[in-house]
Amino acid sequence: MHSILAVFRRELALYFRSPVAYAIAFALLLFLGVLFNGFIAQANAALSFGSGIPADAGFAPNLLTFLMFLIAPLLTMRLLAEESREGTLEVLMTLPLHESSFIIGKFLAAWAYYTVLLLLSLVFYVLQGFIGVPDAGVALGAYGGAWLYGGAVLAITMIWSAVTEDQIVAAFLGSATILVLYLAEIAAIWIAGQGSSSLVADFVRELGLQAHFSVTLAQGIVRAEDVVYFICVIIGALFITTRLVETRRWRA
Amino acid sequence: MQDKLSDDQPFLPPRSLLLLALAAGLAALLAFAINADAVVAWGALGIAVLALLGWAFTAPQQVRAVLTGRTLRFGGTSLLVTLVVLAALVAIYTFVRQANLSVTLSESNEYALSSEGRAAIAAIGADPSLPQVHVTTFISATAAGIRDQLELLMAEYVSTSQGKVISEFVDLDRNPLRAEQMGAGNPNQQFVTRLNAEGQPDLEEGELLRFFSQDGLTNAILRNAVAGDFRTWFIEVEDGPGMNASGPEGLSTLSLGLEQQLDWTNREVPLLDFTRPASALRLNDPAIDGEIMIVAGGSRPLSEPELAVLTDYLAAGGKLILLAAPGLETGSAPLAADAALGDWLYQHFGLRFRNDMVLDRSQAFQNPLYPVSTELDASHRITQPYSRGFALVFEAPHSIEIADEPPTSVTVTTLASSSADSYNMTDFSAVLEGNIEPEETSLTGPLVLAAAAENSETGARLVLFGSTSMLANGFTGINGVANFDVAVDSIFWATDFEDWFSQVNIQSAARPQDAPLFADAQSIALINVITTLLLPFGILAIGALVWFNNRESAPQGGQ
Amino acid sequence: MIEVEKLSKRYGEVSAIRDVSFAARPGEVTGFLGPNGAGKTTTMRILTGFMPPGSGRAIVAGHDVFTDSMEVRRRVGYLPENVPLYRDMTAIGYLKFIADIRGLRDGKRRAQEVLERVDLLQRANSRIRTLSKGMRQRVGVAQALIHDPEVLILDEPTIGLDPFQVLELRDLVRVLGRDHTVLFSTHILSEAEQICDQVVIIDRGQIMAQGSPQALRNELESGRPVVLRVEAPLDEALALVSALPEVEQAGISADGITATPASPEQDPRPAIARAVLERGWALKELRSVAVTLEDIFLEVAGSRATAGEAPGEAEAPADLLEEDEVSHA
Repeated sequence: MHSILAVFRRELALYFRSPVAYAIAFALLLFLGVLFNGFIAQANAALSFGSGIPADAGFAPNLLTFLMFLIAPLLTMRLLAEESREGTLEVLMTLPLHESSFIIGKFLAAWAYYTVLLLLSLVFYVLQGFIGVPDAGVALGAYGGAWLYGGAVLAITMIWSAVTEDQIVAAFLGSATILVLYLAEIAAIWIAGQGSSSLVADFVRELGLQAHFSVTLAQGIVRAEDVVYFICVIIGALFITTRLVETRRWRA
Repeated sequence: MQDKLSDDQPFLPPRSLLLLALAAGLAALLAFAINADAVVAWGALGIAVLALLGWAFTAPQQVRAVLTGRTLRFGGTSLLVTLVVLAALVAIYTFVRQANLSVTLSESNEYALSSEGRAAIAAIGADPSLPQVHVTTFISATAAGIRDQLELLMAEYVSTSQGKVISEFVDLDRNPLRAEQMGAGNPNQQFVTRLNAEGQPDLEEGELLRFFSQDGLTNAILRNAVAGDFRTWFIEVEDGPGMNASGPEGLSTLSLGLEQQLDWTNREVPLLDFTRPASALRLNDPAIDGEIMIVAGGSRPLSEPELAVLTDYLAAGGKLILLAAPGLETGSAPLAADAALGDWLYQHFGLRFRNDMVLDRSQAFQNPLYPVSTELDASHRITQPYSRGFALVFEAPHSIEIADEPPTSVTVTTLASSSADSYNMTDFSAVLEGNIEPEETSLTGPLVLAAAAENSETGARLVLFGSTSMLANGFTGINGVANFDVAVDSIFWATDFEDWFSQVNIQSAARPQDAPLFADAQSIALINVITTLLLPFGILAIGALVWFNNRESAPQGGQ
Repeated sequence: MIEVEKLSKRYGEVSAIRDVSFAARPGEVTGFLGPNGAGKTTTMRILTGFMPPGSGRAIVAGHDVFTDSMEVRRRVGYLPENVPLYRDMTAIGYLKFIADIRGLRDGKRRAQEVLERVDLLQRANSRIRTLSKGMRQRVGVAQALIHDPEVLILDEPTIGLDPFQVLELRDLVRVLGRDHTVLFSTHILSEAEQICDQVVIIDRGQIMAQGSPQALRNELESGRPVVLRVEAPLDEALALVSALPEVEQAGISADGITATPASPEQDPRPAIARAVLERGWALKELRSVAVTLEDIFLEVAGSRATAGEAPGEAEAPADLLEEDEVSHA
């Protein structure tokens, strides 16, 4: 436990010292901010035409989950690739801690940084509270869901960081994986449209990330299976990462 | 370890058992995913578990090695263990998925029953006399997202109604026959119907909801559960317009509307049928939810037995819409203005038709024979919605005489009157010859053209309209002319249909969350500053500061 | 205490180490000597629990590295080759981090103590990337020392340091050897000789020789040619040396006169010196031809080859030639 904590503290401090982390937060908030202003303007315009747009409590979480295919690889590509390239992994692996400890520690740090991003984006919920009535239930579901979603995505991209020593390759592969999982729902619709068995379509859909977020959690519906899905993805991805790091013992 | 095994090889190599467990596990998974046959799924799961146990028995040293030794981490075992862990995770997910647990935090009507809907559906569930209602939701893999939401919502319907609502999801692609039977062609359409005697969805009775809306679904369920029994008696009269006649004079618009949209039962019968012993028709049946008698036109006065049927009906609390035939067609002996009927009505309800014809040369529709009334009573339920900006067009109408002092417990309301420039004529032949100059005895406007009377004691309700143009097909759909609407509302008022309908037609209240966003210029400016300047650039500044500090603290030493 | 018994490790088809057995005692510095690729790092990685052995047994600080890896790791301090460190952390921060992972109480104080021990306290708050190579090496050693381990394993700690830094580090290792079991790998014989109480020589995955450095040197130097420089005519001196019974033959080389001893057991130098002095010549130099690493390996490998025990793949010379530039560095 103390070793998880030690790794967590080191990695988290590293996030808050690294310019990249601030650049990501800056770019994300600027992007969300611009879109938010567009949204408000659109709502105002719609109101003048008679039918207004109600507040969207899930505004930030929805966009954030979409952008995760860009953000998550940037956050996680370093975590293990750098250690193995610099050789510091060898030190870690001869310290009295299990691989899973430092992998969990690193993951938790990335997740914590992401949590800060998510909390910052609460500003869009709060601001809507002044000019409308955002649904608190939806906000709870969407922010909580986006939090789990982010954890799952970070855990998945971390696998690639363990696979390759090249951070760019890790980021690229991570990004591609997340994009594929994000688009699984659209792929499922396409498969269903091809007239093949809807079973395959459903399977592909449930494998993907969006099917467990956009229609349920993002709308304030907390389904046990969605929560379990994200938790299982996190556990599974961390397990695979641990295995991959362990293989270095007998491959290296 | 390999060597140890070869010494005393069991008849089945333990590794093959592991493979069997894996295969069976995958099969179970697939079966659960298909959700087609739970027996197969559980069976496969059982085989997987048995195979694992078998492996544990035949090769205990392998199990120990896997569980404790470092072989766990190295070589192919690592891959196998990873697969087992992943399979376990998938199994957990599948299990939870089967359990179908969910909590809806949102109050949005799209995903959770509104409080109004919940109350109405719960009321249905609590009433044992009502039949079960079957809801078929058509789904498709192409719209799987909405399907997930509807699944949750339908589950809520089922639980709230304590099982009175039966929900079924039918895949359009897998069961096209069913879709065709119910007329559905798109996902997320729903077919709502009650169960028939065989316990099957009644395909003849139900209705298809083409677009999903929660209130629409709730109301369809209510309509099908609480199907009201409302009847319209169209009385056969001489030269009457006819219930199913589709010409401009006919009443088909009304009868079809009542039947198809509101599920009323329409019958066209002679008055005497109610008294004929062989006839099964009865008036004032307390078992039904409502009935209305419509007497439209008629060129011959009612016979004494016919009048008796009518007056008995009214005296027992009957509801009647009485429309006079246009004066020109019936000449001097119309049904409505007959003295016997008129006297009875005047005596018991304080109003009657005059045997005359109202003309208006200034406020008329095309010619003076079509006087137009714009003076609609703003307080009565029938005309209240049309009291502004709507007009009624009459065709050579009979005016209505209203008693100064209505009989006890009777209220009479003037619904519509002609303009001040109007006048009445009694010499029909003169008018037929084209002489429409007022007579010496002519009454001048405003003359009452429509009136309603109600006996609060018996519950009888009576609406008189000066001409059948109020109901005729020819006067529907004209901009600004409210003839048909007023007529239908008079039927609704007379039968109290709306009271009943409101029970089966809920309207969910708008939530505060549905209020549209509105930001004034000042708020927009503030939001702009916060979201695009303050926040992002603030973070950038902090980042720069941190970066700068890191630089500073790094000593100049090193290489 | 390190006890290694018949340790072997293969990477696929390639055998990294084969039947390696040796022991390192507490209070001694054991030098692990061999060229790059000889199996030093592999052995050390097995001893530190980084990778499991293929077969054989290794007991470190009383625990088996295979079955009891965690206990071993708790008791071993390890400085990997090339000293991997987190360059973006401060020295003290890094050491504190290691102390936290090891679950040491009062990590900050421990970190300061070891920094003081490696004489780096004044740079405690500098980021590691700004430290010189020697300082980084010392941070690495501090990392290995932070939990006051029973066993210290240092993989080529002096590689890439300037001579002054090398001396500093050697002193440090010597001091540490007094109260730890130190296993220290190098490919420089003189280094091993200076600081080790015991030397284990490994080549191509096999132990070639082990013993105290002095004994090893004596053993290896015996029978080697000697070089003589005198203030006298070259041919006379050559004739004199050639005539000695202890000398098998003598010739003229760039250094002077090179004489091969008649038997490996007998050092010809006393006899040569006596003869030169008797003639009244001034003796400028008389030494055994320097024993270089290459010589030792060529010799040991050669003797093994003739004994028929050498591993199948006997293309050793190529490997060893690569070693030249490193050993001269």
